[in-house]
Amino acid sequence: MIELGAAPPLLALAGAALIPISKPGLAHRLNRFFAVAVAATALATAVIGANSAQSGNTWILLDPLGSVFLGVNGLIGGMSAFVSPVYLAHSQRGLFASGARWYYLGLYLFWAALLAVPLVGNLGLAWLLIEMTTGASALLVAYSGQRRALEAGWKYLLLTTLGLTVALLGIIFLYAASAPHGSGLAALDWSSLRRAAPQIPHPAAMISLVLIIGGLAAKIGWAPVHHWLPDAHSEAPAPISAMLSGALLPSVMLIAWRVQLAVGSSAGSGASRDLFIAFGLISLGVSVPFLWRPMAIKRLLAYSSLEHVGIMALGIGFDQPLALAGVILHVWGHALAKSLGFYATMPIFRLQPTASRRPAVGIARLSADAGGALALSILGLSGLPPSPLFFSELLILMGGLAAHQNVVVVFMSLMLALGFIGLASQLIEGLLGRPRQLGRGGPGRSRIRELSIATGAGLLILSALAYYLPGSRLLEAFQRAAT
Amino acid sequence: MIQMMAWLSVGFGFGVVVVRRRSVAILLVGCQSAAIGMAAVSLSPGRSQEFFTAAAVLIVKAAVLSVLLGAAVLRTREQTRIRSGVNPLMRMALTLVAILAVNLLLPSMPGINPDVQRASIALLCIGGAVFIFRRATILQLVGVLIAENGLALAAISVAGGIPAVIELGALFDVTLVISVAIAFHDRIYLLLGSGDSSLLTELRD
Repeated sequence: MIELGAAPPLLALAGAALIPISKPGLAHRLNRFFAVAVAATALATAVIGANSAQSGNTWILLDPLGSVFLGVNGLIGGMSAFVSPVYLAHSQRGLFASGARWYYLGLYLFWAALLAVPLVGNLGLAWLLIEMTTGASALLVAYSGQRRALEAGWKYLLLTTLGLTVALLGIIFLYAASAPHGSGLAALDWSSLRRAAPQIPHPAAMISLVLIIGGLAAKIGWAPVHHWLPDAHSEAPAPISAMLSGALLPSVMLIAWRVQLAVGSSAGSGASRDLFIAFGLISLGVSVPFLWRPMAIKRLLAYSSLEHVGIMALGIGFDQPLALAGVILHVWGHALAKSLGFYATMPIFRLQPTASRRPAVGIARLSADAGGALALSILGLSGLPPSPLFFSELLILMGGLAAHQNVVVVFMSLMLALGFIGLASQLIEGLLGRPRQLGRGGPGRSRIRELSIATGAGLLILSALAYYLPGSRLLEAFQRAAT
Repeated sequence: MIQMMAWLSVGFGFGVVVVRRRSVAILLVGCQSAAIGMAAVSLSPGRSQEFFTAAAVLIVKAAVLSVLLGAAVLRTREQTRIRSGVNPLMRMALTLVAILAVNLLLPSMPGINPDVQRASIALLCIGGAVFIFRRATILQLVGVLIAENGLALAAISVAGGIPAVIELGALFDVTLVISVAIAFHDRIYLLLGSGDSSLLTELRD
């Protein structure tokens, strides 16, 4: 069964190898095949992993915790690959002379690394995979070749690399402290770290943890080390923005979470949880004022990502069953709603080109499909019931109360309310204002309609799951992993 | 040997903080990488074959990345020198303060030579300072390389070295990232006529 875990990333690598060398027409057909095949394999692996006991080795680990994130990465990657031909059909080739081939190569390499991150059973290998996502995704961020995209890609590449450098220093310190005689790669397995944790001196564990989580924070996009996030998410092609926001950020957060679970007890579990709470509070505090400012849709969605990774950090920091159930639900709900929002920008930018730089106005008057997709996405992200994010945020707040973090819960509630009002007001103006330009039809409108229906159904299913998740076997498996 | 090479590397790093020419900075960081590679080779006897391989790759990396960066400088000649907003003495002073502060805050970590740990932290701080204070894209890349050299130094000083898979993987990743960054630098130069990162200021909220 362990070998099954290798299938999704290997299949994505096969896509990276085959699609760029095929003829243009065939490339799009192959892309559709691999999009469905990789996503289906990842989802099947995730279902098996979520329903089984933890099993694995240094290279592959199938467990319920990783399976939740593997499923998200499979689904969001598949949807992004599926809508990519729509993006490519209307994009101008900028950074690369042979646009689509390089795009697909980058996308599938990025996706393969993303699929492998939740599956890997070793901290050192996880770091390598995260660093690998940087190279491929930075080129994709700058794909349009425009000045703003280059600026965003440059910032993303260098800031996240510097952050990951700090994280690797923490890993080296942790390895030196946990394996004083050099035990090889296996010393950095999640299970080995957990066994070695009681022997690691407290200061060494604490400093390692701070360096690793602080370094990874730069890649997760937690404030105050988030400066690349709004730029990269707003300038990348829409399918890539969806992968960055819905899949990359939570995947790197999973590694930070696994580190906390493995060595947090040695560093002082309270202190390690406080680290997550601090990042969560700062991220919420920084993001919410931006949700009130009129800005281009993709930039607004990027700041919303900052808000949501902050909420997830708080859920992890509360470390209560209800909060953990909320985190699971939030990772999935956020990924679905946010991806739809980014995909909706493709027809919107065709209908209203100025919307790529300035706030969109009157989208619903130009296209009911694009307006509907945007409304579904933003209302879902703002946490309006019956959005699953309403239930996930409620669960996280209840978890916070159970953890006696009353002040944090009050602050979080306030920020969520302000964020909701900000997003809702931006949406009303964006949908119902008087448009500056007349519509002239956008690309893939029927595909946006299909995606909206599918995403809406997915969000409703997640909302229903919110009722069953607390006390479920999946959550029990989570709690076993956390204790 | 390793202590001497560690502090020599810090010296090369300080050189990068103050020099004006990109080519000199690349030469200095190349020497720094080579010094760390030689320190690793000197530690090889008594360690695994994989460690020796990783040490040899460190030296190869020093040469390859220096050539890549040097070629990028030759391709993208600047019409006027890209000036840093902070003068060299101030850069040096601020970097020193950062190094002292971080080293004072961090206790000695088990399993790592304290002297080498301090030098590694110093290289990380120097790398960060070069990245922050210098505006030329090539020099910012050199800053990242200095920080990565600090990691390599810490890694080789761990008893038995860190696992070769991680060491070699990290070297591969660094080379990949630097190669991608050089592609960005070329494109920025083509678009703006200069590799001055301070011209990239369109994305502000």
